[in-house]
Amino acid sequence: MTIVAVEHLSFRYNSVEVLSDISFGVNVGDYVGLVGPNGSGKTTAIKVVLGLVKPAKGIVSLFGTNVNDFREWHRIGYLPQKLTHFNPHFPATVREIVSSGLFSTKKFPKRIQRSDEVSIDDAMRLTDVTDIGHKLIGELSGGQQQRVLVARAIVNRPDLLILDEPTTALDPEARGMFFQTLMGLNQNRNVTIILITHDIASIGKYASKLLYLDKQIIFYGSFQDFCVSEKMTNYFGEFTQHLICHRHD
Amino acid sequence: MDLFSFFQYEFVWRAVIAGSFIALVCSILGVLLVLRRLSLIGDGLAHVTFGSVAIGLLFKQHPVYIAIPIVMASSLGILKLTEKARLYGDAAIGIVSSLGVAGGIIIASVAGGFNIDIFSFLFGNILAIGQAEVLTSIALSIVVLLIIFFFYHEHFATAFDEEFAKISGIDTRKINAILVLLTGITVVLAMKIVGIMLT
Repeated sequence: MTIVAVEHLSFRYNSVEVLSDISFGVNVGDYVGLVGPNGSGKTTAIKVVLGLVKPAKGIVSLFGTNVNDFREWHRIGYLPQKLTHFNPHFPATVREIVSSGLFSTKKFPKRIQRSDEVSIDDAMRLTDVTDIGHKLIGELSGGQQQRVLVARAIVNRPDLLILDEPTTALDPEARGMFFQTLMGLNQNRNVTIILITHDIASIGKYASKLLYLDKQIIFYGSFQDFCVSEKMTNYFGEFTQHLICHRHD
Repeated sequence: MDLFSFFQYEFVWRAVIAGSFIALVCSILGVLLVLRRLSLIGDGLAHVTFGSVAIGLLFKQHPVYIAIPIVMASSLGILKLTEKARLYGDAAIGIVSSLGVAGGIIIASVAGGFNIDIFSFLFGNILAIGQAEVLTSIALSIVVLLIIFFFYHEHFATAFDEEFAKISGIDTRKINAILVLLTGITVVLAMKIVGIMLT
């Protein structure tokens, strides 16, 4: 079953074309690595998929519903690339930030119940932020803040998890653990994952599919196919393609 | 004459009650506005109130009745400017507040002066407020407290991360509109108590 369907999507910032007629689908249980150079439209594509910005052309469906009419936000977990207006003095603890990920599951008036504590504890344990649960978000390092935001993204046990460069502030050990956690969510809980990253080699080790974007879709398929794709050999050059594909061996 | 003997006067009681309730509303809204980086919106809307008072006096209407719709429209205008014109909040507030003061000065000049000193609104007079203003400040406090109580988590989520709040199904435009409209009404009602300068 296709849960994200993008058809003939184009997007422009003023007169600059960022996405040009892209179409792709993501099925239940997929783990898609969305990769591409800076300015290739990865984050924009995700924002269009989530209905945060309107495309110039094209249709986006989430779980079979046009994104403009989509209301089942509790089925989606999202980690933005960066907090747009992050206030380092924001007076909220880690636990409060993580629990805010449950608001999508609540009707008016949104209240966190005692029964929600299990989900919050679970998400905090998975992302290793339990020990800092009482700390203010502004007191944390960049890597810790990123783990808190990942916990917020998964606390509602989403069917679809969209992560925009979640590993940029993580050290190599934390990054490895993070990829393992995502793998567990994907395989054990059947969470569909779309992950934006620049680290093609690392994501190739875990993701079931790679979507290489450079204003248009250059490649969409498995990492194995990516490594033998003639199109990608022409795009990267044989040497670079070899480096990408064998770095994690 | 000791301090407590002041309370034998009814006007002192009115000042204390109305002042306390306005302080309560301002402190609650103030926290949210600071977190949203809209801390100067109160000042900006107070400038608009000045212009609105001039319009009210020009048409010989009670300034508050004229100021409320104009200030509410201006607060929504600030929001629109930040959303559509991609201006930061401070720039949008600056545009609207300049328009408010300039409009007030122009109207006062064109009208050739008013029977009431328009500049008395700049400083207010907490001891001169009437029963109606006391009741209005109490009612406003209750409305603000109820709205913040029922929409607390929406305001929290929007203040921390507006993009994520949208993905959580929160209508952030509605939440933003509620916040600036409540601020606008508070500014107008606080005008007579603390004056436009201090609002």
